Amino acid sequence: MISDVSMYSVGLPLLIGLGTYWRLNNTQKAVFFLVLLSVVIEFWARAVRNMGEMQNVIYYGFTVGEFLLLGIVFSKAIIPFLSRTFFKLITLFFLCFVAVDMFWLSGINQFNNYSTAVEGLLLIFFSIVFFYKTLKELKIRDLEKEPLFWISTGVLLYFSGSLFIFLFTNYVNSSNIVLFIIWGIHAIFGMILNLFYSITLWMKPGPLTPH
Amino acid sequence: MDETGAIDSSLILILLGVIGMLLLAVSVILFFIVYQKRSFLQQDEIKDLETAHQKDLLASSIQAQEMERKRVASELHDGLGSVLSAIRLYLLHLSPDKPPHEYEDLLKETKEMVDSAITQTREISHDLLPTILDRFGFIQALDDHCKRLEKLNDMEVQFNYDYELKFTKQQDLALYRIFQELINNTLKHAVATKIQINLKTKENNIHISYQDNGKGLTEEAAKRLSMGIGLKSIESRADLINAKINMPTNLEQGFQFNLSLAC
Repeated sequence: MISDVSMYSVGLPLLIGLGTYWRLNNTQKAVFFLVLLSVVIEFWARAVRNMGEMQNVIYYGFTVGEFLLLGIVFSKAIIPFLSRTFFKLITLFFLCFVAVDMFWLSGINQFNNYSTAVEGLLLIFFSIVFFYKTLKELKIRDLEKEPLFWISTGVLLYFSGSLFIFLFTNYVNSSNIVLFIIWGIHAIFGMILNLFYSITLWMKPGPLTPH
Repeated sequence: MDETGAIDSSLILILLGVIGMLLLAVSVILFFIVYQKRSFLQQDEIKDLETAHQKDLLASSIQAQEMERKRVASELHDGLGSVLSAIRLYLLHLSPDKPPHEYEDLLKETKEMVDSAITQTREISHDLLPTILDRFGFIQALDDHCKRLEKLNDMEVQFNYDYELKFTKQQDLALYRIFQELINNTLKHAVATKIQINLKTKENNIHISYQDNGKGLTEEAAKRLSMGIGLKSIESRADLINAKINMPTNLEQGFQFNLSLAC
């Protein structure tokens, strides 16, 4: 039930994004495409559910797509604070790890817990670096008018909350009640993330503080 | 029973992990927001202080300019003006019909007054902008000023410098005015018998120190001085040439002033 609500919550940023697309900046557009990707993946997963466990492959694709889109968003804000080469290496490392997870660790027919956990760790790192850079430079006076503040906050809350779920769910005895509770909590974090994406797509970015 | 226990403990562990991570994330976000707001507040306060200081310096500079104009006007009116008026009166008494022995004394006095007018004009001009400063720069001008001081006042004035440095015209004028002001302060308030000025270069910086053996500067006097136009004028001139200045207070004896400037 709560998972369904979480799935439908992606409709909110989607509708807002469709309404405001004409005035979105590049950062917001990347978030809109991410929301669009979530919707497509969710429908696709539901469509192939009857085909059995093959639906998990789609989630590997979503993890890579999500990381690449958010990586682009963060890289634009953080480079040259972190070098371009660093971002390229991190992306390469992540893509290799997803491949390893897909074929050896979790397996192609299993949910990609490890890839999602590593993705979460990397995005948490990017968020914290963004916060640190923002504090150091003091260029953004009105945080509420900065899309990346909302994205970083959403990403930090969602992935921090979900990290333990992704890492340790495989070790939980497959009791339906426990899994229901765990994925229910994850669904709540998913709704929070969608709420932050909605704010990102709704807002009009403000100018940077002149130095 | 065992299985339920295992399920409960794994669920509790995951929940604890989730709550811990979430609290950590919320703390990071709250810290970021609070610290960012506080940093901007501090930045605004510093900017306000800087603006107030700049306004203060500007007001002092305008006031100093007005005082200087007043001084020059008074010197022209009371000094040069009155000498010229006297010359005019004397000239009115000169008549070609009179025999020379009658106006010989008058002519001599008139010549003396013309000489005095010329000297006063030179002094006013020198006070406004010494020719030597324009031609040879700060070091020569200050050296000349120190020598004149020694002659005119019962005071030992030492100006030591390693070798002659070249300053820009703006630096020449600012440095000269700063040290002229310091010397004036010593003459007016310090009851000193000795002034020592040292100019040295070290690690791409020029250091100039000024010291007298007068009454010195207590913290209270330093506070009063910091409100005065003289010091503000020194500060604004130092700012203009990006020089750093400091004045140690509560020295055992005398007054000290240090200035450093990038080469």
